[in-house]
Amino acid sequence: MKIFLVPVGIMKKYMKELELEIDETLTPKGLMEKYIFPDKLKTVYFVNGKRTDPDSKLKDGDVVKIVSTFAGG
Amino acid sequence: MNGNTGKVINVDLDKGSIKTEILPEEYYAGYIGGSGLAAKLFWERGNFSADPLSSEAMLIFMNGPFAGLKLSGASRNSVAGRSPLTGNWGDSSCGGYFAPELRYAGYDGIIIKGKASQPAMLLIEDDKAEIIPAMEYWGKGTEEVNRAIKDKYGKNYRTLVIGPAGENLVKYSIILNEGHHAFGRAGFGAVMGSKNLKAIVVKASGKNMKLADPEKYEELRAELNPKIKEALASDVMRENGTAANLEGGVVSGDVPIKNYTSNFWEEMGQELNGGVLTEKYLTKRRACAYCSIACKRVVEIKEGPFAIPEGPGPEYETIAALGSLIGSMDLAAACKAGRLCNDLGIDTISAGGTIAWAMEAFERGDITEKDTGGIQLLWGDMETVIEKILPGIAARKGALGMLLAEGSLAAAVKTGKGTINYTVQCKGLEVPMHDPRGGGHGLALAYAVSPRGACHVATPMLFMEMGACYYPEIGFEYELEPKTDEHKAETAVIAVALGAIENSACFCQFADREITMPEWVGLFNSVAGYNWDAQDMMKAGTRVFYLKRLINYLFGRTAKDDALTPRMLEPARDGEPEGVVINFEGMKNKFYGLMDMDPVKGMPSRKKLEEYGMSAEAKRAWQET
Repeated sequence: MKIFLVPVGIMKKYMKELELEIDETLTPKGLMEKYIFPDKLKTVYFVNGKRTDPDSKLKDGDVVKIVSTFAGG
Repeated sequence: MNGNTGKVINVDLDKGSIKTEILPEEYYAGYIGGSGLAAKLFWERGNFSADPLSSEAMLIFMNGPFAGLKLSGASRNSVAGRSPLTGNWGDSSCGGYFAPELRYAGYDGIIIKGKASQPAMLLIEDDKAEIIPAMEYWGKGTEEVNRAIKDKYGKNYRTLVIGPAGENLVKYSIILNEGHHAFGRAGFGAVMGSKNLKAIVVKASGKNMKLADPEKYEELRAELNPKIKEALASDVMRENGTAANLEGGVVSGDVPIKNYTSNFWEEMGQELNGGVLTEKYLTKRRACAYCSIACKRVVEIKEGPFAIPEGPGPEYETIAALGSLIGSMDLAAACKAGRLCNDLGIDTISAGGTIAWAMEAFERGDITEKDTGGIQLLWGDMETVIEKILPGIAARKGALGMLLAEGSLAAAVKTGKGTINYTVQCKGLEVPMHDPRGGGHGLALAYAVSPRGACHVATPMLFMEMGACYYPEIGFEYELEPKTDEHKAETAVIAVALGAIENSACFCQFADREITMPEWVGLFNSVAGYNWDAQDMMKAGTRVFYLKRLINYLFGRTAKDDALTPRMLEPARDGEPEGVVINFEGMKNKFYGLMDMDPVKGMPSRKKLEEYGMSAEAKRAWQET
């Protein structure tokens, strides 16, 4: 199936926007490990605009935004 | 004494006298330094019935034990006393270069009372301190005064300066170090102004410091400085500043928009992000003393309506407060408005919060052109903000300037018509630029129970909720889901102690989140020789929190003041947190139980205070009920 992987904010430093053909067993967390920056940055996942469990299932056409929880003050 | 100098300067501006004093050593072990030690001094010596802008009011500047010890993030300073904005306990922290110089001159702090008969400046050169006339600086902006002082005395003379807003007693006036670093919150610039004190300047010739275990300290320093420098978060902030991930905050609903009426504005996130600031306007990166993170920005905007020459650039809070919060996504305008606030001497967070309230009030018709002197208050109209509103506030000029110079709560009380319901403040302090509905529900609790009012740096709750730090030695080793109330009260119990430690040790949260519990304890023990374990250190932190609660109680603050306004507690209207409601009362009740705080008075029980070695404080506070 096809999904769209979109880095947000500082995640843009580590990856580009991607359109991917993936196996349906791949989760947001799996995507992070396979395609992006696998180290230290704590990230959260938003699928079609809503915060999603890292181990949830994806479906065809999903837009997955990867957001670091880093915040300034 | 090890670590600290043990010495403070007492300034009486009524008498024109300056005396040095050795503080009792147990004050340091009990209350650490910074805002904790300042609270102890205020508790012992403060006049609780004095108006914060009266001659009797006490203004305290206090270092932490690590000031000047060449450790990243550890050379901040605290200012404290009764806040003119809120009327209760206030403290504010500042990085920059003042703290090390004060320590090298031989002092941990400065305690100021009285009012000079004419504009004055306090000049400290090692053991020589004097009050000198400063008429030539009065009425001038911080940038010009900072430059003039350095031209006159030398560039290594470290300055604290107030702007016209402080002179005019604007309730959220700042004190600015080196023209760049601010004691931003709670209005202590107005306290200086009320004392006719335009500036404090310090220069030291030596760096004599006595540590309990210098070798152990050096060992720790050699480990910690590279660790802080190389941390991924430090790298991110060095590259793109504290607004580096503003866009990520917009997606999660953390960044407030139009007076907290919205939690999502995609285009704004892309325009105001720190990377854009770097790309378009950054000319240099700067750091506070001895800090390897270097999150400070220097910017120049060469052309356009918001052109500004090279100089201090905005941080995240300023970009959001003078951007999204007031309906603007113009980064150049936020830079110019932030620069103007620095020069006039105004807190950008409270300014943004107060203007945002006024814009909503104008939109609703609760205030009209009759109340604003003909000025239209429209979302995103940055030209009016820069040309009319901010200068009007600083000068208390016209109906609008007079109204907004008091802060959002006082302005809403004066206006009536239920406008208080859409102020976004706690205990009178405007909420910083993290919306708990999107950022994390624990932050709502942390805002509410913070002694100085809504504050994101009173505790590390924001970082704890996002998983940026863990402390297994004291029981914080669990993952938190930001948008629930689960484990938030228990986490807040830890967070209030950690926050009190940070703000008493005068450590920057961006640096100290890389420090483990054993390293924290090692720092205190090698520098001050306390022989603490983690529990001892946490006990000192909780003691500081409790003491500030007692101070607030004597100012008349009780449990009902640990509250958020309806705007913060209504369901988010859009974005990722749309529809989510915070279980605020549930978290608060649980926190009160865990902290053994009286559900009506809002202060700790006698028994709990006695456990913390605060019998005398318990007796006084509970007797005055």
